[in-house]
Amino acid sequence: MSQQSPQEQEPPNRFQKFLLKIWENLDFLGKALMGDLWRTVYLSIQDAIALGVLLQLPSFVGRIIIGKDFSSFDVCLKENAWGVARYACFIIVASDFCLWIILAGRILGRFWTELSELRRGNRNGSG
Amino acid sequence: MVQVNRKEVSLYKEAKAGLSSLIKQTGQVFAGLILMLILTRGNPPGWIVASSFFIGIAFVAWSENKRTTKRIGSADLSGADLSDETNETKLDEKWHKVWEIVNQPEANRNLSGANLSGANLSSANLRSADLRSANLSNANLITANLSNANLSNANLSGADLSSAELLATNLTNADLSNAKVRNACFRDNLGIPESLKSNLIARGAIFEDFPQVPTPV
Repeated sequence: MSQQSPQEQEPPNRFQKFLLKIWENLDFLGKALMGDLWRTVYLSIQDAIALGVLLQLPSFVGRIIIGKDFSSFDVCLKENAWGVARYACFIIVASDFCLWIILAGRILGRFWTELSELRRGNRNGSG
Repeated sequence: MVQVNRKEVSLYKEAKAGLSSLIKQTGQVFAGLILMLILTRGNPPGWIVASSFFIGIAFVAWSENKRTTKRIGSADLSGADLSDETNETKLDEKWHKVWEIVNQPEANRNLSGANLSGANLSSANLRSADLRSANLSNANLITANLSNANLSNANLSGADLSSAELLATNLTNADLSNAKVRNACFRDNLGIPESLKSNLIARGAIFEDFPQVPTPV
């Protein structure tokens, strides 16, 4: 379990306090605008940004260094078997593929949770 | 359940938890894709790519659903305000019970047959509580006071009883398999056979009424 007893929790440092303040105000504003749906929207946007940074970065770097645009696994096999480009291609295509799998999966997962919550008759269902 | 948790957890904490789960899921899916590429020698047929896509989405959706529904289980309900009737927060019976135990400590509580699996009951006062046949599997009972409680036929498998107090506790037929009992204090207990006692001592439990074997120097 991930619980921590109060004794184990460290007090937030200055940077964490600053972040907490930003998030607190952002949460307040978001809730005022969208209600309970706000959290789902926020988390989906955060996912999209994080995945963009995590998984589009290899493709961007590859485009700059190798100078090629890889779009499918077939293209990778046309590259030299001993060359870096072939393996870079596999990683780039796999990460592009991964991005859509994770994004779609997480949105569906949250939708699933909300749906089961609604079915349970919780008035707080944000859907 | 998750809605309640969202109200309890700050956006900062939720954002942090979301990011760490995102990285974990990305790693798992990426590893799966690499494995698929190795197995197909870098030339996957269209149907394998399509199946990987849908299996990947299903896995991530399942994992995310599991994470968001499970979070309430590890949530710390101490100090949560549920007293207001008009409060939109709505917990199911199980978590209401957990909230009551944590925030309204009282002795002799009747919890026989209660489902408290996975609950965070650290430092809870369960003194003289009736916990017959209760399900406390995987519950966090660190430093909880279970003295004089009746835990006969209770399921404590996987529960964390580290440093808990179990003085004169009735443990007849209680399931203590995989329970963490390091520094848990036992004395005058009912229903603990000698074999189980030795086993618990080996797992770090302290039996105040049992002569501890001095370790050879």
